[in-house]
Amino acid sequence: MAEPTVPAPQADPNADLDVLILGGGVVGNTIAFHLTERGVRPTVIDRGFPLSGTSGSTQAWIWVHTKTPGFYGELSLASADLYRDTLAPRLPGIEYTRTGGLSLLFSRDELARAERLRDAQRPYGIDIEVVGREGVRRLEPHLSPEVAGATFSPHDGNVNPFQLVRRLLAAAQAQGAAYRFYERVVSLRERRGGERRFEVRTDRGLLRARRLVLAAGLWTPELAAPLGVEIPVRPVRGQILVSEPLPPVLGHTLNFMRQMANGEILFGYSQEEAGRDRRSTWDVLSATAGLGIRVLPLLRGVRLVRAFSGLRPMPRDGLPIVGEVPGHPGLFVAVMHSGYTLAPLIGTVMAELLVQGHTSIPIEGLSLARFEGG
Amino acid sequence: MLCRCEDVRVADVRACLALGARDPDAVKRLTRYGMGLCQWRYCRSALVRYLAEQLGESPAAFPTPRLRLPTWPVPVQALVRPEAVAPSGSRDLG
Ligand SMILES: Cc1cc2nc3c(=O)[nH]c(=O)nc-3n(C[C@H](O)[C@H](O)[C@H](O)COP(=O)(O)OP(=O)(O)OC[C@H]3O[C@@H](n4cnc5c(N)ncnc54)[C@H](O)[C@@H]3O)c2cc1C
Repeated sequence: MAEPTVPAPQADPNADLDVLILGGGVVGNTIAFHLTERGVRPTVIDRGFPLSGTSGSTQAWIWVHTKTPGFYGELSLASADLYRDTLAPRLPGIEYTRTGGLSLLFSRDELARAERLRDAQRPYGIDIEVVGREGVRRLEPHLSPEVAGATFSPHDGNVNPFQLVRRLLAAAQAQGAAYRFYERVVSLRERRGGERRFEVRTDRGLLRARRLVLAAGLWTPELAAPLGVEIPVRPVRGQILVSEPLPPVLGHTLNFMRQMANGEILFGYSQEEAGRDRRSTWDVLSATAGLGIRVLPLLRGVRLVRAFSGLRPMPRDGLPIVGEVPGHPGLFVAVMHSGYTLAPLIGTVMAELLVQGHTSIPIEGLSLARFEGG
Repeated sequence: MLCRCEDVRVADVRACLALGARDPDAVKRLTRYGMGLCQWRYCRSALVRYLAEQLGESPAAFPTPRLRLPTWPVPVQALVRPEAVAPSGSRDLG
């Protein structure tokens, strides 16, 4: 007699999701990946494909030494160490390189400020050396003698942003995270009383989740508004130029220029209040080109292959907004500039928060609560 | 081979589809397709045709990309204007 066939248990399509992450940039993906490392299988929703937001137009320095106040520098350092010790070994191919970083000084009066920075960062474990003109030339022989000095730190480096997001996403998918791409969230509702639920209306239907993570970068404020939650974040535009591939000419990450593994040089650091206008503009590109040549004279005749521009999701005080939203149990937020530098750290603490309810390092300073009353 | 500058092959594009990518820009960011010296000029239509065929769409369903300045490779010096002022702000932001 044939064995009776037992129907495979079917997932109920109307069942509540455990964790739903809104936004599939570097922040949404690092949270998803770190959750799957702990056995949680979140759902991630994005109106496009990951990298269509800010995460696809970035410099991706893993930058530590000039980050202030000290506790922010300390978090950035902890994250850089997680890249080296945990993430890069776990996800081969992300091209994390700890190049060391140089923050350039153009005049002698900037030297005193550099020494103050060095002294202020020391208690947080951040090593900084102040080097003069000659020291800079020893570290980077191709830089112009016009560069008067620099702060140097061994902690800084960079990553390949596209490969990082690709590998976080692929690993999370392989470990059971569900992705809904090309689906736009239209509105959110919080059902209080009885069992708390979040209802997420999209252009394809209705989803329900027990816990919701807002990680939509720049677009988080408009998603959170219907819940009565204000996220003080605004766009700050940055424009970048990309050169043709060159043989290795820069060994370090400079704070406005770096050479990628394929030889291209990325440079630019403009900070513009331009709303959501993501175009490149000739005035800024021209100024960027001029400064590039001033710092690295050999760029003069090098061909540019591309320019791009991105919108930094900049919190009002510049610091990340991370954690559970006060007064809204089950609602979490993770919005920040420097999402690449902080990716392993934010992924780790958010996974801890969602799995254990507390984090291994204090993150109260990052809570949305700090903006209350002003 | 679909993109010669960056050496992207059909199998690479297929891997993007497996991850869930459904548009040319997503393939570009995942593989560097079209990010080489030609900047999409010679290779984009081949990608659009391949995606359209795989997804059962019309090639017209994929809008043409935003134009990125500069539209052809020029030396860095060619962009410099004497009156241009350095961008403002801290250089430490990234
Ligand atoms: C020029 C520039 C240089 C930078 N340099 C550095 C650097 O050197 N180092 C560093 O650490 N950081 C840097 N940054 C910052 C860094 O890139 C960002 O902090 C990071 O990319 C933010 O990631 P995110 O996931 O929060 O945002 P995003 O990548 O924007 O992801 C948000 C996602 O939400 C999705 N979304 C939005 N609305 C909806 C909706 N209604 N429904 C569904 N999905 C939605 C979007 O499609 C998007 O994919 C730089 C940024 C810029 C612009």
